[in-house]
Order: sequence, then C-alpha cells, then structure tokens
Amino acid sequence: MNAVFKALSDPTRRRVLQLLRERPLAAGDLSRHFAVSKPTMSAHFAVLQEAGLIEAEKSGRTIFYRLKMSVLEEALLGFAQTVGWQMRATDGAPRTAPRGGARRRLIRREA
Amino acid sequence: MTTESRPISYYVAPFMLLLVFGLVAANAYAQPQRGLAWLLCAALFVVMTWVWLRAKRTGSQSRNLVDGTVVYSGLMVVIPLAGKLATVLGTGDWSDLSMRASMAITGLYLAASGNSLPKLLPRWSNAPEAYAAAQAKRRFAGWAWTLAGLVLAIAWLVLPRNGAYAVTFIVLPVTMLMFAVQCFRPRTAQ
Repeated sequence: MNAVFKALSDPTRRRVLQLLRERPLAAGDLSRHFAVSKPTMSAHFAVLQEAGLIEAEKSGRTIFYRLKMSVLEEALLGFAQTVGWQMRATDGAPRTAPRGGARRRLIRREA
Repeated sequence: MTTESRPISYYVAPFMLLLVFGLVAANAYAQPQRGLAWLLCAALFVVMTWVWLRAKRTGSQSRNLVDGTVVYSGLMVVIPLAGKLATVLGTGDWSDLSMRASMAITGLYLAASGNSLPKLLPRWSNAPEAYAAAQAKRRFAGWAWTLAGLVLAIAWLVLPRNGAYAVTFIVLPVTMLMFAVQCFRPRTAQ
C-alpha cells in the first residue's frame, strides 16, 4: 500500500493514470502530454508499475501501458486529485517537470 | 534471499473448513430432525474442500482467490450455524444477530470482489477501441458491486430488519440491471 501512496503523491503520475482511464496508450503518446524528458517519464512509469497501478504490454516495438487499478485505488486517486495531495518525492523522479535552466541542463545531459 | 509472503486467508482457510464441519456435526447432533439441511451444507463444503485442496496441490495463481472465497463463504455459514446451535442449546435467541452478521459479511464479500474486479485485466488486444470498451465495463462493474456491497453491509448493520430487507431487494436488482444495461449498450463512437 505504501507503494500506492508514493505513486499517487505525484501530479504527473496522477495525470498518467487519468489518461489511461480512457484507453491504453503507447509510452510515446503518454510522454507527449508532459514537458518532461523520456528518462523522467520512464522513472514515473516504473514507479506506477511497481505499485501495480499500470501494466506494460509490448506490441511490436511499441510499449503500451494499461490501467490496473482497483476501485479503492481509484477512489484514492480521486481523493488525491481533489485535495492536491503532494508528498516529498523520494523515488528519484522529480515531482514536477524541471523548468528553465534545470530543464536545459537535463536535456543536455540526456543528449 | 526473499521469503514468500502469504495472505492471512492462507492460514485461516483450513481452520474455517474444520470449523464449518465441526458446527455442522454439532447441529446435526442437536437437531437430527433437520438431517437433510445439514447434509446439504456438509456436501457443499466437501466440494469446497476438494476445490481448495486441488488449488493447493497445483499451486495455481488462483490459490489466493480460492483461499479468500473459502474464508468468506465459511464466515457466511459459520455465524448462522453457531447462532442456531446456541439457540438450540438454550442460550437465548441469536437468530437476528446471526442473520445480520451473515448478510453484512455477504455485503463485504461483494464489495471486496467488486474492488478487485478492475484489476483482472481484459485480454490484450491490438484494437484499442475494443480493449477500452472492455476496460470501461470492468471498471463500471467494479464500482457498482463495491458500492452495492458496502450499502448492503451497512444496511444490515444499522437498519431495522424490514428496512434492511427493503434495501437488499432494491440495491441488488438495481445493480444487476445497471450492469446488464452497461454490458448490452451499443458502443458509441468517441
């Protein structure tokens, strides 16, 4: 349950879960919704997978993610979304997309 | 090195089966005139024991599900059996309490099953629309059964008996109807 709370504490991860509520999405399509680098998104996906909230499915060369949330977990997501619940990130993945100089440095480092 | 963690139902399930058989035997001894009822109850749990042993032997992934089902169904039966036995032995009338407890447990079982329903993913399909429709149905069913189960459990814990019956006969058919409508509703274009 701790992993679920950790996963839901981040607004980016919550947004990913909201997008996956509609339909399964490819990793690339999901990443396009966020101003975050690919490694950062991968870290977010890893946290969500570790918590058992999403599942990856490989189709050819594309990785699709699909939602795997129980009713209680969905209710927790709704609650977290309503109260804007944000804890200190301790998983290595930043809570929000880095901006300005930090973002440029991150992109340069990843390139 | 890792140790396999087991849910509590793993240990409770065999105890529950033994308890059911013990209570059925005690009731049959106290009220031999209802022999057929006790026989049917015992037969049901013989089948359940067979399924449980089979799941244990094969070590299938559904083992946890079988354990959980044995525990819940055992609780549903153990409480009325114990209440009946206590009433026959002259310790007071426990029929209302045992009925309420049994129905509340049934409600909790529905809620727990509904909660885990969306976790059972539909088969992966390369047609995203078809997959999304199947996923939406499971999510809807999960929410419907969870809420119905919780309402049922709370109703049997707090309402007078007639009120609890009324809630049961409204909530269950309405939930089934909603689920049927959701299943047979034609898919609309997004």
